Amino acid sequence: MTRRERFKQYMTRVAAAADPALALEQKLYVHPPNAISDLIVRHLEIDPASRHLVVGGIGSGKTTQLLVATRELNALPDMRAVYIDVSQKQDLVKLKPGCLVALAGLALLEGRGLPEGGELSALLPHIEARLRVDHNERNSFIKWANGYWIDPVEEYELDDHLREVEGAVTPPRPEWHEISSMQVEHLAHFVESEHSVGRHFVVLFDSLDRTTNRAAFTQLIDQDIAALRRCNIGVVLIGPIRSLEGFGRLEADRFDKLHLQGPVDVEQDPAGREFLFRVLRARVEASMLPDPEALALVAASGGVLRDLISLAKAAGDEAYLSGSETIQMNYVQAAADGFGRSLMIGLHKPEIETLKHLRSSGGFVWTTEDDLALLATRRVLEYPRRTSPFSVHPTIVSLLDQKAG
Amino acid sequence: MPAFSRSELGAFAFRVLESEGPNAWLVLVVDGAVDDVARKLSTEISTLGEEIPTTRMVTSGSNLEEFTQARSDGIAIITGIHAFTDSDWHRVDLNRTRLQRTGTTVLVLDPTSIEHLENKAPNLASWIGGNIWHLEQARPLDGALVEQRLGALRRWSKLEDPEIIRRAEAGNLPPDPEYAEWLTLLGRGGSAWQVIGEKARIRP
Repeated sequence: MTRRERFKQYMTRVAAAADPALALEQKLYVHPPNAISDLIVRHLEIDPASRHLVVGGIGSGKTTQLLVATRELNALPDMRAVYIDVSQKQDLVKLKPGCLVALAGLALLEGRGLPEGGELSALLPHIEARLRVDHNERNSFIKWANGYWIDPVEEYELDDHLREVEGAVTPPRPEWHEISSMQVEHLAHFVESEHSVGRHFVVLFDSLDRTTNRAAFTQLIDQDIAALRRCNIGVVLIGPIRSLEGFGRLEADRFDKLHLQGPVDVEQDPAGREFLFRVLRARVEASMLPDPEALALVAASGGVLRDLISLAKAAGDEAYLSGSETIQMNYVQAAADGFGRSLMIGLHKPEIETLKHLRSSGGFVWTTEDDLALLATRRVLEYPRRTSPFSVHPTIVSLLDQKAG
Repeated sequence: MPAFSRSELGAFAFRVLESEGPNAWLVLVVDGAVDDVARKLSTEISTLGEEIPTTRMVTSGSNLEEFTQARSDGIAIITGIHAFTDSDWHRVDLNRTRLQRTGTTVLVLDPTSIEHLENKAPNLASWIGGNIWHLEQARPLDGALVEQRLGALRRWSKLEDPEIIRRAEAGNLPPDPEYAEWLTLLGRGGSAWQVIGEKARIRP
């Protein structure tokens, strides 16, 4: 293999922006200690309708954990789990109540295939379960979820002839009052038919951590999580980091369990450091990336998985373009410097002061939107198990110190 | 703006070509005319490499989404991002998954847009990481430095200049960065690279 081929192979294995599903397919995944996927699966095993909120910084490996949990849940005989990347199915700018119920229902109806290669007697309960899903309910749900066209004349006539007359007694509204109750009932029937063949249904929603429209997200959580609970559907949802503080806590309270996916503590936790080292070793051999350089990359990443992979790729770029056969320490340093400079872009004086203060005293109080932005953009990293949990991203430490001069 | 990594256009074009995906993203920040640089970059890449990049001026966040969905393969050079509003940045960040491509994407940005990218689209920025380069104007090389570097390349390959030129013209020179640098230092960059590029195109 030529030098170019070796490096090209390396670059493919450290593609930081690649779909996490690809890393699983290519068997590059390394299971972390205390993996969130393990906790989620253990909880859902004993309480299949429980609700889980996963919160963590950008690039911390949340999607991978969701995909692993989906795979492990589907390995259980009495479980059917579906991973949904909400941003692929729904324009997140137009987030509204009912969206998660609709996506869960469509996923449930879509995958109602029969088990392969079974005896007829084993297939019969599944066939019966399919028949149990009323055709009209199914069509009505799909029309509601996906939208449909209506003849304006027909609509006019409906309006003309059917009017809602409010009764003397106004019943209390269900918790999901902004979602059609009829459709929630339909979804509950679909889930019951799944239960009739001995399977629980769990949905894992990804990408909702990116939403910054607080009102829309809160409304969505209020309505959809309650409706999915009514249908006995287990839910795992990746939510925004703001769900942890202030009024955002109300969103977290809608769930049975909150899971924090922080960066790995590479400074104080040897097992964490070892895990990230193994992540690199699964992708590259020591003959190309020696141990000291791999450990330097681990330290520079601050324990953020995507940053680690991104730094490894940048160091490989530098080594290749400089004509080197291996990734040496000076290329790791160049990669870390470039990464740090990119994190510094767009920082203004008050934010730099906040970062310098954190660097010098360890103090950081998360009070304003600007503080939240420092966390969201990984300039500040939070290690929940530390006494002083906040730290500046390692790649910007020296740049901050230079500014201090 | 902080002084971040600088690169000349040719070196950046080479980085783009050697960026292995899937879904590699790079940013080139330019102080001058963005569209002009994007055109030159496209020419540089197609001269060096095996493919002609697609250059697209996008007009909005949804336009960028449409483009990436329609054109998943190959190298794409994107301009027009300076006109993005806050809601465009918000949109591309929320719907980042829809920007996923198998090919390499290059954003050519002005200095203000790179600040917006880092602050208003942190999810997209995390894909890019440190792959941000500030365009530097090519400087004439110092003669002594050129000779020193050529000496290092001769020792590395155990070959002499005429042999390198002969192999390049015959299309037998591997498309490694050292040879590109060598030919450039000999003042044979353009034509010789053309030959390497042509050969690379017919290589299985």
